[in-house]
Amino acid sequence: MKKAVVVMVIILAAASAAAASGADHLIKLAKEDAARIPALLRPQLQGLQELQTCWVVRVGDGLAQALTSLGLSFDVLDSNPEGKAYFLVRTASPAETAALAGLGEVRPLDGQTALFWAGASEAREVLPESFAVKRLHLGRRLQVRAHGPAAPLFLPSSRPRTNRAEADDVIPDLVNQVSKSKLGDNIQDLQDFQTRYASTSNCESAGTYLFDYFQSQGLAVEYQSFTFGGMPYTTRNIVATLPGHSSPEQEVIVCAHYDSTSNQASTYAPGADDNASGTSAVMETARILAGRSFDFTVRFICFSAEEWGLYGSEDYASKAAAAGVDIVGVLNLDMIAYAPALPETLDLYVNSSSGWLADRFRTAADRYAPLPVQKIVDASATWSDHSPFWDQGYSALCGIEDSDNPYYHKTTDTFSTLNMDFTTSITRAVVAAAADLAQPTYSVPTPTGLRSQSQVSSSLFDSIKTAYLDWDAVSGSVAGYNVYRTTTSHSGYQKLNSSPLADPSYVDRGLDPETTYYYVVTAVDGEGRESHFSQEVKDDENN
Amino acid sequence: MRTTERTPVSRLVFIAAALLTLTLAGAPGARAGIAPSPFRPWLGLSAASGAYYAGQGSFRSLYGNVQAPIHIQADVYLSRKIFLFAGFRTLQTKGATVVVGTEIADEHYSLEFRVSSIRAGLGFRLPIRRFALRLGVGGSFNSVRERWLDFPEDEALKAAGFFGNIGLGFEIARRWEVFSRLEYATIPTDSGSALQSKVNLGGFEAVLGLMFKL
Repeated sequence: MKKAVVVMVIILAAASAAAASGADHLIKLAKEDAARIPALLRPQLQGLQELQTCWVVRVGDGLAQALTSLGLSFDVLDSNPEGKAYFLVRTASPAETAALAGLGEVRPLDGQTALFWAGASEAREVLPESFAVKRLHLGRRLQVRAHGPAAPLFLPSSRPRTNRAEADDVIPDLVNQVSKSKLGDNIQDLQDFQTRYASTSNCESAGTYLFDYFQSQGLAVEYQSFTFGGMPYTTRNIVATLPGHSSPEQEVIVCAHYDSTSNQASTYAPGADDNASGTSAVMETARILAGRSFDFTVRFICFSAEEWGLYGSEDYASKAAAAGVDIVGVLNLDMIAYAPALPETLDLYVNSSSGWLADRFRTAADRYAPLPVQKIVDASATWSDHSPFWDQGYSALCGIEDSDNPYYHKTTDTFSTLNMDFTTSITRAVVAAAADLAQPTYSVPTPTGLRSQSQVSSSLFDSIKTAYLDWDAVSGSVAGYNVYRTTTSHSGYQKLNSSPLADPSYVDRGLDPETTYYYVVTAVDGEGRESHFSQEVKDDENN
Repeated sequence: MRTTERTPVSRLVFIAAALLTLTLAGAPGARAGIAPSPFRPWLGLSAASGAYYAGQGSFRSLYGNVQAPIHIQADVYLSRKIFLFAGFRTLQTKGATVVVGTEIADEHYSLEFRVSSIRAGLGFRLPIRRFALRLGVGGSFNSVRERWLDFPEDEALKAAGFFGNIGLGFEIARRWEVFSRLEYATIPTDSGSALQSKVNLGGFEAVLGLMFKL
């Protein structure tokens, strides 16, 4: 009792002190310590970056003292951060981390990730080009969780089903259109800009080239301009859109960064592997999917200023989240062409809530590439354009070659060092995975407008949950609907009804109130052919 | 919360102490030889029923405010004022589930509830002409079962409890007595649901009964 009172007093004191506090600190807070923070206090923590085992958090004096009073341990990384430019830097070894100390301030964070800053300087202007960096945005306010996100903020929808004859035809047909020579031509074209360093006019020209390419495929294309760096510089993301047919509000993103760097970045940075290869795969995927109709919108995005600290993807992801864009999943490709020998493994980096996406990609790779794939769950993999999407709660993966490229960020990263068979296999998997996620439109329309509400009924000693589902009736020759349920989002769906339902509604009774259930529905035509799964909803999605 | 849990126990201790005091207070009179009539132990068999009002609102929301328990009890009078008792109590009722949290549909499922108790305790009896005031305390061993009629949800559990009561009897014939009794009981359990995290089946009870004296 006494202890509870003391804790309450500390919390209340912290709440008022934090509001009035002038001095700020960046702290490293282990996730196990984050779990011990009282619920009342946790919203006051300004999470800046989640890593696999810890958080980088911005706190005021009062809050820092309160955490100390509660017996929580944390490392103060820096104080009075305003006006400084912080970067997450990937380092290969403790020795490499120590070497950074001569260039600025450095604090080890988590595994291969360190925090670096040199006053207000851009990391790209201070650090050797071999380091991959991510700008830490001080204004960000992420919810500090004890563990990885339990579920993605935006839920994906469906996967192909085997009882559709059309499904078996469409994706192989798309995959077979992947052209090794076109992929090579794209890389060569991008390399020919000499450099695509984001602060150069050559990068701007490369952006124009990409804009024109997507436009020539019949896609709606737009520039997304943004500033970055201390100067500041201006550069552009290239965003091409293939509108969805039945659920255009849901988006699948296939992306790569098109800027490059090297030890002579301003004049020569061919960046064939990093990352003309990923950009080429996006271009080729766009070419193949452009003529098709999908349930969901597909966006093909080439980001700029990735090498400066993921500025382009940060700008896009934060704006998408602010606008409430429903992104099903993000396939980010970064360095997919270096392979000393085949077979070469493609690494898929995901955070805990994006694991399903890697599983889906692997299924596509196994079936259509074929390609050995390695799923790596690591929230500390912050060094490419998938990371800002993770920060916003979206599901995203990064596909990257498994071997270390000796030409990485060098003027020798040229087309001649690449293995185009490897890139072609990966692009086949990307086309299949993107089509799978976006769902090719079939003759049986996919139900839309699925809603679910749930209520808990209770007696003295037991409780059950009941889910009430309804969806928009599908027009045309539809014989009925099937309802599927799973307790693991995006996978393991089990059909609930023995015969197709005539009405677009369903009540699922007798559920465990402690379990979260996810539902999708399909439409069935008179010949028993089934549509895609609808958008997935949680049982209390519309409560 | 802790205060409300302690109150019944404190009352029981008080009642037990009062009984003990009254018992001891009666002894000097006997020692003084004030016209003690010879005492012969006797047995009282009784049956009673009445109204039970659950202490927890969750029970009342499921099964209604009042239920009718049935008691069968045997009292053994060891002296004029002290008796031991043992008995059986049962309560069966039907009800319906309630919605916890957001109500989406007016949908309720049927329930059956039953508690059977074996009870024993110690009592103090104060005869006043044809009336008899009784105080009693005791413990109970309870077998509880709640069943959902629409789903295979079936909870059965055992729980111990305590109770204290006060009653008034009136001798209507040489061997017959009618009586009424007010009782407070606590039957805590470690089980619960989304509605009530820990269920206590105790509450207040008022019964009317008939006793046959042997």
